Amino acid sequence: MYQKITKHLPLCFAWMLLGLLLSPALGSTPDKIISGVVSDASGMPLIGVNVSVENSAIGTITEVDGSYRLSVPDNANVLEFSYVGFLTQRVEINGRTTINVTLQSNNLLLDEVVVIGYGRQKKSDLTGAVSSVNVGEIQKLPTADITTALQGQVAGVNVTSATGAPGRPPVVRIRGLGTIGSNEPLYVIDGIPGDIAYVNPSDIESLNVLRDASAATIYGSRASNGVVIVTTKRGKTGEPRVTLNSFIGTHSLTNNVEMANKAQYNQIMKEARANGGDDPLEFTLDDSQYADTNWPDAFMKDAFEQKYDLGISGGADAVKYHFSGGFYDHSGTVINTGFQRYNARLNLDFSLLNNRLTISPGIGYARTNSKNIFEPTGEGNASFSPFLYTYSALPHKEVYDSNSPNGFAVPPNILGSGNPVGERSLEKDQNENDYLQLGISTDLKIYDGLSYQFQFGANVGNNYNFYHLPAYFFGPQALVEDPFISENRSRLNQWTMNNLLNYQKDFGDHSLGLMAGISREKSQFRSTGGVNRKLPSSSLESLSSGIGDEASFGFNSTNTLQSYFGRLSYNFGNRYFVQGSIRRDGSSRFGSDNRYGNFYSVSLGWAIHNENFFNVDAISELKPRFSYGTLGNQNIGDHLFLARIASGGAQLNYPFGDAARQAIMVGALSTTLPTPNIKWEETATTNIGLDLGLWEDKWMLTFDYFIANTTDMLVSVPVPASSGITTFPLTNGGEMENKGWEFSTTYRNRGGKLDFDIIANLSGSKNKVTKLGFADESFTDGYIEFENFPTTRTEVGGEIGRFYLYQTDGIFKSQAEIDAHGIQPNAQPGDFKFVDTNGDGTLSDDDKVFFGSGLPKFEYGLTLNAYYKHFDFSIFLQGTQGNNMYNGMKMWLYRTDRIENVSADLVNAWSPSNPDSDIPRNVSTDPNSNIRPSDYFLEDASYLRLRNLQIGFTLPEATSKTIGISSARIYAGAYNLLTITGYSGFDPGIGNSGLLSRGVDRGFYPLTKSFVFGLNLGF
Amino acid sequence: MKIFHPIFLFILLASFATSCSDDFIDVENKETLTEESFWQTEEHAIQALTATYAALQSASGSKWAFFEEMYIAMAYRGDDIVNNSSEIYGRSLANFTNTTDESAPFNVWQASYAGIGRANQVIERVPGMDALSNETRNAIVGEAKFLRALYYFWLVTGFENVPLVTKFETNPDFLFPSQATPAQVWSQIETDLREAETIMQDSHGPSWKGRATKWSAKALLGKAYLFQEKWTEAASKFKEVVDSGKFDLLPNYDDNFNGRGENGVESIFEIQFTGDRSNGNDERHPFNFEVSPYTFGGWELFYPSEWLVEEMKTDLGADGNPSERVYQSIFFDDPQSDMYSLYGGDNVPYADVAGELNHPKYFKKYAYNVDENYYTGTNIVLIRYADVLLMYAEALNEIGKTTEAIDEINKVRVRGKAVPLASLTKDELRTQIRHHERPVELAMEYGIRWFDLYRWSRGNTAPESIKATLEAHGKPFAGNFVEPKHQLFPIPLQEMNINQNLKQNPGW
Repeated sequence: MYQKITKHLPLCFAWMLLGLLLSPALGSTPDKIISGVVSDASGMPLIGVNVSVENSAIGTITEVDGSYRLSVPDNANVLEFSYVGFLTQRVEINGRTTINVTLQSNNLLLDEVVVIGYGRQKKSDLTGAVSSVNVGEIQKLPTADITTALQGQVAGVNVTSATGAPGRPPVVRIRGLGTIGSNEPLYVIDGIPGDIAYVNPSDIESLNVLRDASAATIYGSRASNGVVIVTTKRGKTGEPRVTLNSFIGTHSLTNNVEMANKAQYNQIMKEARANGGDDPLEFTLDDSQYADTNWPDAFMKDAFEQKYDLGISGGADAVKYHFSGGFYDHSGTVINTGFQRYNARLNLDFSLLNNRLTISPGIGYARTNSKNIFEPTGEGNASFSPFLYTYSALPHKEVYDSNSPNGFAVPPNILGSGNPVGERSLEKDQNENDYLQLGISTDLKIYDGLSYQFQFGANVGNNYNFYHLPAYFFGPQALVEDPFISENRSRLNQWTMNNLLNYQKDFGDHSLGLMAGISREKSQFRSTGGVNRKLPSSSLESLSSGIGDEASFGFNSTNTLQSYFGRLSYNFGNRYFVQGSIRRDGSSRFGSDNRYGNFYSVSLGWAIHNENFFNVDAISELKPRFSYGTLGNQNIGDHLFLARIASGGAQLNYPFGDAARQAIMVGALSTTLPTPNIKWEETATTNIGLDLGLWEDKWMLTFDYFIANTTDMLVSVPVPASSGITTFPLTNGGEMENKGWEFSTTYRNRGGKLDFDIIANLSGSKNKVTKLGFADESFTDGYIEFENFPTTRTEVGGEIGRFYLYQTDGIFKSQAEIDAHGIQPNAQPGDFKFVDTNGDGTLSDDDKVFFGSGLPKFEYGLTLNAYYKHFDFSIFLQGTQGNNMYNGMKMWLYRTDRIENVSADLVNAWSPSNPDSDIPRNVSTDPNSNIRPSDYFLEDASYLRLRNLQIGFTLPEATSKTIGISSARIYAGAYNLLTITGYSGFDPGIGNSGLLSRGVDRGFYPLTKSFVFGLNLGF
Repeated sequence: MKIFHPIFLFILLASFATSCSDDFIDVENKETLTEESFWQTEEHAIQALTATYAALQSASGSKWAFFEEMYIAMAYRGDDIVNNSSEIYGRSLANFTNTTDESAPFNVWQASYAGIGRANQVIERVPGMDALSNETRNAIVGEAKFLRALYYFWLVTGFENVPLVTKFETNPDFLFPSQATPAQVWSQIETDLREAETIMQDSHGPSWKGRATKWSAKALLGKAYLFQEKWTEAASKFKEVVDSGKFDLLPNYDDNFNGRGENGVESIFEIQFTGDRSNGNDERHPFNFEVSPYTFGGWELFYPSEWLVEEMKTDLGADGNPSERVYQSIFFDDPQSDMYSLYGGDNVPYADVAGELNHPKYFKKYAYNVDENYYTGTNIVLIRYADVLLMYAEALNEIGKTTEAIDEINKVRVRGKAVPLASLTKDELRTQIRHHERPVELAMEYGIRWFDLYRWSRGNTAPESIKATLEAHGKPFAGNFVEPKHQLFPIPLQEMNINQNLKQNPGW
C-alpha cells in the first residue's frame, strides 16, 4: 500500500507545482523606482554595496559616488543593503522612493547569508553546524585546488595530502571517521553534485560546510560524511569589471632523509655481511671503484608553478554576466611529472517578468593535463613506492651513459638491475581530462513569499589516459622487451534535476520558511581501453601500429537516485528557532526491498541575546543550538544486491591443451558472497553547539560537540578464507561511534591605524568500532611489504586503523641480557629486545600491542591578518597533535638484508665499539627480525607548520588610477616554509589515503616548499 | 501578459519530465553475470571447472603469489634447498623464525580453500544442469572432486588441523567453522578420489590436455594412502597406474622441465601455464628467473643445498661421472656441467662463468624461456610417472616386496642414466629411497621433499625426526627447528583474526 502511494507521489507533485506555477502568472504588479546614497558612519560614500529587495533576486550595487537606483515591484516591502565588513541593514520602504542609508561598520558578519542545502539562510537563523568559509582568505593561498586550501581553515574539516604529487586531490574528512566504508564528503557545486577538483578556486564565491545532521539531512543519501556547498561567482549590475590575478612560484622538495654514500654503504654492508656470516659483496671491497651517485638528487628537481586568472563581470538589470578564464601549471618536483589545468566559466543571470523570474545558466569547463607517477597509497597490500625505489638505488650505479641508446646507464651485472631515473624518464603515463559542468537554474516568484525553483545540471567527464613504454634494458629485473602501449578512455555522464517550492513569510513575530522538493539524479560511467604488448618501434605510439598480443576492455555502469524532501524553518521573534527536515531517497544501488531510505532531522536554537531580560553589554550574541538527525550513505558499487558471477582474469582463467603455448580458457563462478539484503548505511548525529559574540561581535566564538552513531556500515566484511571466497563481500557489517568537538573563534579589530584579524580553529574527534563484520572479525591492514608486515588492526572496542605492533625495549648489550630475557634465542648483542607483553614466555603475534592511530587527537589552524596603511600581512599556521605515523620508509632503509642502499644513520648502528647506539646492529641475515613491525618505527607525527606567510602592498588609488588601473596589489609569500615536528620521515602531513592504513608512510611524494610572487589587478 | 509564455512552457515541460515512477531507479545490470544467468550451458560448467583448476596457481592467480608464496611455503623448509639469504622472500620460513602471520602458508591455505569453494560450487550445481550429457556431468564433477581432494591434501599435510568444508556456504552463520580432525579430512580425500576415479575420463582430447584423468585420481589416491602408511592400498593403486600402460618415463629426463614433455607420457598431473598473452591474459610463472644465476639474467632466489649436491655426486652413471639426471638437475663445479642462460638462450659451461657466479651451485629445472616470452609458460609438475614409480617402490618395500621395489626404482635410475641398484635389505632400501632416490630424482619439485620429511616424521614406520634430518643434512638454522611446532604450518593469523573458532597448532 505504502509502496503504491509513493509510486504516484512524484506525478502528483509535479502537477501540484504546475498549478502553483500558472496561477500567479496571471497577475503581475507594476514597478517603481527607488534611489538613494549609501555611506559609512563617517559620511564617505560606499562603492559596490549590494542593494536588493528582500527575499528576491532583484538588486543592484552602488556606484562610485555611493548612489543606487533600483526598480522594485510595487508590493516590495523591504530593501536590504549589504557590504563586506559592514552590518547588513534592512530598511522598510514604506512607500518612499528615496532611501539614503548609513551602514554601520561591523566585523561580525552576523547577517551574512549562508548557502545551505537547496536554499539560503541567514547566518543568524542557523541552528545546525554550518561552517562558512572565508573564501577571500583561502584564495590567498597559492594552491591549485580549493580542498587543499581548506586545510586548517575550518574546525572539523580534516584535509590531508595523500601524497605531495601535483594535481593529486587531498583526502578530506569532515568530523573524523564515521564509517569503515567510504568517508568521502559530498560536494555540491551551484546546486548540483559534482567534482570539486575541476573547479578553479578563484571562481568560488562561497563555500560552506554542512557538518551535522540538521544541516545535511536535506542531502540525505550521501550526506553522512558531510556536505561541502560551493557557489561560483556571478555578475553584478554595473560597468564591466575586469580582474587579473596571477602568481608564480618555485617549488623545492625538502630532502631530509639522508642516504648512505658509496663509502658509507661499503662500510655498513661489510659489517652487515660479516655479522650475518655472509661473504662480503664483491663491489663493496674497493671504495675507489664505481660511481658515487646521489639518486634522489637525480630523481627530483625544482619546479616552477604559475597561475593566471582573468575575470570579467558586470551587467544591467536584465542581464548579468561573469566570465572567467584560468590557467595553472606546475612543472613537477620529480622528473617527468607535472600538472596543468585550464578553466573557463560563464555564469549568466537573466531577470524577466519584472524581476519575478530569474534564469541563471552557467557553464564551466576544465581541462587537466597531467604526467603521472604511480604511488602505493590506499588500503590493502603494499606495492612499491617509486621514491623508495630511488632512495634505495645503489650509489655505485651511474645514472647517465652517453653511449647508451637512451642516454641512461645500464648497471653492471654485479650491481643488479634498475636505473630509477632512466625508468622514470622513459615511462609515459599521461592524462588529459575534460570536465564540463552545465547548469541552469530558474527561480520564479509566484505569490507573496512563494517561489518555485527548477534546477538542472549536468557533468560530463571525459578522461583519457595514455601509457607507453619504449623497449629498454637496465638489467633482467628492469627491462621492457617490447615497446608497450595502453590507451584508456572513460566517459562520465551525470545529471541532476531538482524541482523546489519555497515559501517564506513573516507574520508579526512569527517567521516561517517552507521548502519542498523532488530530485532525480543519474550517473553513467563507460570506458574503453586497449593495450598492445608489442610495437614494432619504440617511436610508435598508436594502438593500431601494434603487432603483439592485444587486449581490449571496458566498463559500463549506471546508478540513479530519486528523492523527495522538505524543510520547515520557524522562528519566533528572532529568539526561538526550530527547523525540521526530511528526505526520502530511492537508490538503484539496493534491491527492491531496501531501495528507499528515510532520513530526518530536527534542530533548535535560542537566541538568548535577543531576549528582553538579557542585557549583558559585553555579550552581543549568545545562542545555544541543538540538533538531532539521521543521514545515509550509499557510496558503493552498483548491483551489489545481485548474486554476481566473476568471470575471466588471471584469478579464474587457466590454460589447457597440448601445445607448448596452450590456449587460455575463461573461468567463471562466484568468488564472493551474494548480499541480496544490502541496504542504506545510516548515521544518527546529535549536535550541541553554542555561538557567542563579545563586544559587539568583535570577538566571535563557536563551539560544537557531536556524537554520531553509524549502523549498517557498508564495508567489505572479512570472511574466513575457508569459505572459498576470495573477495570480501561488501555489505552492511558493523556499527561505530564517532564523537568530537569543534571550536572556532574570530577576533576582528577595525578602525584603528592597524587593523587586524585573528582567526583560530581547533577540533578533535575519536571513533570507536562497536560491531564489526559477521562475527566481530578484525581487519588487518597497513602492509609495508607485499603480503607482509601489516601494521594496523581494526577491531571492536577500538578506533579505526590502530597501529598494532611489537614493543621494543632497547637493544641487547650482552649475551647475558639475552639469556636473562629468554624469549629471543636467535638474538645477539645489538639486536632489539622485544617485550613479552602477555608474559607467556614466548614471543609471538599475541605480544603485539596497540599504539594509537594516524588520526590526530586534535588539529588546529591559526590565521593572523594585519593591515597597515597600504600594506597587508598574513600568516597562517596549521598543525595536528597526537597522530602517529608508521615510518615504513625508515623500516625499508634500515634493512641490510638486501643489496640496496640504506640510510646513512646505519653508520652509527650498534656495535661492540658503539654500545650506546639505539640503532640495531647491521646484520644481513637479521636472525632476530629487527625489521618486524615494532614501535621502533612508529613516530609521533604531530606537527606545526607555517603554511603561508604573505606580505602584500596595495597601490594607492591615486597612483593606480594614473596608469588606468582601479586597484592593484602585489604580494610575495612563502608556502610550507617551516615545519616543526619530531617525525623523521619526509613529511608528517602526508597521511596515505587508505582508511585502515592511515598514517602508514610507504615513502610518498613529499610536500614541497614554495616561494611565490603574485599580482591582483582590477580594471 | 501571455499565460503560456515560452519560459513557462519550458518549466512546465521540465516538471513533466520528472513525473515518473520507480522505474527510474530500476537500473539494468549490464556488466556482470549473475547466478541467474549462469549455470545454464555446458560452457558455463566448463568455465566453473576452469576456475576450480585456476586456484592451483594461487588464490589470486598471480605469478608472484604462486612462486613467492606457495612454492616457497612448500619448498623452502626442505633439506634439498637453501634460500638466497640476501632475499627476504620466505627467509624467516626457511630459518624457522617465522611467526603466524607469515604470508606464504596463508597463501597455501587461501588457494586451497579457494579451490575447494569453487569445487563445491561445481559439485553442487553441475549435477542439476540439464544441458549437459550424463558423461560430461560425470567428467566435470569427477574432476572437481579430484581437485577438492588435492586441495585438502595440501591443507592436511601442511596444517593438519583444518576446517572441513564440503558445501559452498553463503549464510554468514555457517562461515566460521571449527577444525576437523586430520582423520576426517583424510577420509574426505579418500571418498572424493574413490568416487572421482570411477566417473572421470580416461583421457582428454588435444584441446583439453592438462585436465585431470581417472589416472590422476588413482595416483593421488595412492599418494594419500602412502601418507597414511596404508602400504597395501597404496601399492595396489600405484600398480593400477603402472599396469595401465598409459604412462612411461620420458627418454630425456630434462624434458620434464623444459616444456618439451608437457602433458606428455610421463605426466600424471601438472599445473598448467602458458606463454599466451592474447586478450590481456597472463598465465606465466617466473621460475626461469628464480633459479637462474644473476650472471644469466636471473634472480637466484634459492639454490640446491650442499647436502643435495654431495648426494647427487654419488648418483653415478656407467662412466663413473654423475648421472645424466644430476647434470640436468643442477649447475655445479664440474667439467661437464652447463646451464641455459636467459641472456643468450644457449647452454653455458660452468667453467666459462665460474668467476662471475654469486654462488657455487644452482638448480636448472624450469630455467628455460620456452615460450620466448620473458616469464615462462612451462607447466609445473605435481605428479609425474617417475614419482609414481618411486612411491610404488616405497609401498612395495614396506610390505616386504623389496626386490620388486628395486625393479621399479631401477626403471627411474636407468632413464636418468644412473647405474641400477644392486640388491639391498628392506631397511637399506628405505634409507636409499628416503635420502637418495627421491631427493635426487625429485629435487626442488613442487610439494615433494618437505612433505616426504613430514610424513616420515609423523608416521609409525621407522619415524625420523625432521630436526635430526635437517641437522644431519646441514640445513642452515636447523637449530631453530622446534618439534613438534615446526612440523606444521601455523594456522595463519590472517585467518585466526577472522575466525575465532580456530585453534592454533601446537607450539605456535
